[in-house]
Amino acid sequence: MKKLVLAATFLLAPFVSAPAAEKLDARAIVQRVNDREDGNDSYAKVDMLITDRSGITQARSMISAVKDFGSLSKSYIRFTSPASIDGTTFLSWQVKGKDDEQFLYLPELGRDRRIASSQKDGDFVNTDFTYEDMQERNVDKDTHTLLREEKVGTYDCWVIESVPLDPKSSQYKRWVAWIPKGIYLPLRVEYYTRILRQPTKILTARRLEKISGIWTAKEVEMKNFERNTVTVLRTVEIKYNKGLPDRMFTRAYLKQTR
Amino acid sequence: MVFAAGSGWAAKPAPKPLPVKLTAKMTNRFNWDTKKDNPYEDTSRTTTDINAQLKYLPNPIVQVVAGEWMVDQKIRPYNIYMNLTYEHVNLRFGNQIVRWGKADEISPLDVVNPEDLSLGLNRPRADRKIPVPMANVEFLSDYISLQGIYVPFSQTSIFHYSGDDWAYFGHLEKKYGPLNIIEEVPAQTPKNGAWGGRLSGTIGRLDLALVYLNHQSNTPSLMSFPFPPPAAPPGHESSLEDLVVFSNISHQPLKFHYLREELYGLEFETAIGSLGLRGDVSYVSSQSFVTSSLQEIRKPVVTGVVGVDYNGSGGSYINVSFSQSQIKDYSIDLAPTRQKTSTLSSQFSLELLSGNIKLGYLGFTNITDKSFYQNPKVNINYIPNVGIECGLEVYGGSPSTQIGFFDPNDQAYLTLSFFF
Repeated sequence: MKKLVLAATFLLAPFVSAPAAEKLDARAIVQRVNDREDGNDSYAKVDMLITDRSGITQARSMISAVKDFGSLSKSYIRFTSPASIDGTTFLSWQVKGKDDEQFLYLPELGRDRRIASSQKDGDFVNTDFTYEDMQERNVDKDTHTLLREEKVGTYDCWVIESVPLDPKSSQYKRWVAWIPKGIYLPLRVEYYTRILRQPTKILTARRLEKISGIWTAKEVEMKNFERNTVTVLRTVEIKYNKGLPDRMFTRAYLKQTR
Repeated sequence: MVFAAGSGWAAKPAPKPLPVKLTAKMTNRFNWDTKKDNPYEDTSRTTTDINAQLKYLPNPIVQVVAGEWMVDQKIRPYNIYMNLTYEHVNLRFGNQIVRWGKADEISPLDVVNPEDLSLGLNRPRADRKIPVPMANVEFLSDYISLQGIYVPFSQTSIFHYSGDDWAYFGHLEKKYGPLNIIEEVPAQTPKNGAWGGRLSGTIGRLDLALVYLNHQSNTPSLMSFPFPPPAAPPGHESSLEDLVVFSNISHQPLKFHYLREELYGLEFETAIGSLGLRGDVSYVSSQSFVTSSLQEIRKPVVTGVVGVDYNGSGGSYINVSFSQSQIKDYSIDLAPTRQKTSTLSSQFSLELLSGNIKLGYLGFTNITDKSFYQNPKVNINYIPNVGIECGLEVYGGSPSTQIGFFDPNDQAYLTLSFFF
């Protein structure tokens, strides 16, 4: 489930088709979402639009790359505009079941810096995505319930509620996702920080396209109703399985800003 | 198909963008003294820095950077280098900045490049660094990296001895008449160049680096007076004003030179949960001090810095670091300088309104001599590519201390930065 958001943030959101007629329980559906084929690597140019509560929108552009190294997934994000943050680069190494290793390169410092894994509920670079939203979550950390089946646009979806077994393991009390049958791309996720109230945040995936055989959400929006803010990520260009060089995901490469 | 190939309208491949990138930053800073402490000081000051860089990136291996830096209407070369990137080797030749050390704000290992101190600490340290001609070779592997640098000519920091609020002797010249200062600048020969290396690696999640640098100090030190003041009592704390007075009375110049020193260092950095932990240890073979009888004496100095930072939820950030320097082979006639000097620096910030407003505080306290620097500030980032910062800079402590000497320079400031 969370991998959708990770994918959205890195503008990957790849999904493979599965036999739609297959009978699956809620856990199996969520596992399918997590297990989908997403290529060995991807390289994307992304525009980020952040609208604050006063309605002012700030635009940023970035280059995002992800590559799998066995059980290790490495991601690279470099901001290219506005000029004030041009060259600021994040490198993250994610190993299943362990804290991420994260590094930040600020051009004015001229050196990379190991940064602590931010608190799960910390905002990722002042967007409405938190670090937890960007991380894959083990399916067995939550209980999953199939609430109903309903249509979203032209897609027949499963509506699945997930509740953390250990409340401390997530910033959310629960979340509800609309997963189109056969595509396994949640089109909408409602995040609740309190059980009975309205959702705190809603993620919406739009403009689904099959690129290099991989389903991709070319626009993802996260609305935060508590703060009345919105973040939109738009993919300008994305390529899969380019054979990105390993050194792009090393700390040494951070200094070699292009 | 409307326009077939050969019709003259065949689709042309889109032109490749030029492999050139131009970036620039202009910073205007307006300072106002909070009060007029003496008749000589400036009550307000406006400075403009412009930094422009052109990058030429013809292919993934070659990167050529040419930059100019205009500081206070004087144009200087900035980063001007060629970088060659290979799988396990990175070569960079030309005017460049190399920063060693993991500690924030003040690292005893961040001394490869000199600094522009002509405006004191007004600019952030990153903006004060002066690029110098250098050969910089790095061998990179998954586990360890080895860097070697060679600076062919000695480069010194930029500062003023007298004449303005941030000068080494401040306005003492206006008070006591012309200062007789002689500075022995190292000759621009390869013999006075600098060379060093850095070996870095990671054990688990602990980053470690060993550093060695053999160079001329970037800042000058006072040489002995041939005829020292008579019967100077041990432990007498000489101020800069005492030096000027004695120089005038005895008709002996204030002579400065740049010492050659060896620096050995250890860097470490790790992250534990949501805490970042980092620091540096340095050993300087021969640092210059002035005795109570105004004689120069050289002693080894060990400095350790350890810092911890924390990223909280809601855009809060805390960074605290502690450092201690210790003079080895300490003797009583060094009493103007304490054997151990401890400092504490702290940084807090809180981002509001999606990071468009940032409240911040930077503080530095010398626990030993009780001098301090405080900098509360507000950053406003609503306009793309325009940064606005306003704040206060407060200096305190005895005039005989390095920070307290700037006590009359307490100021409010407004900085406007434009990025292109």
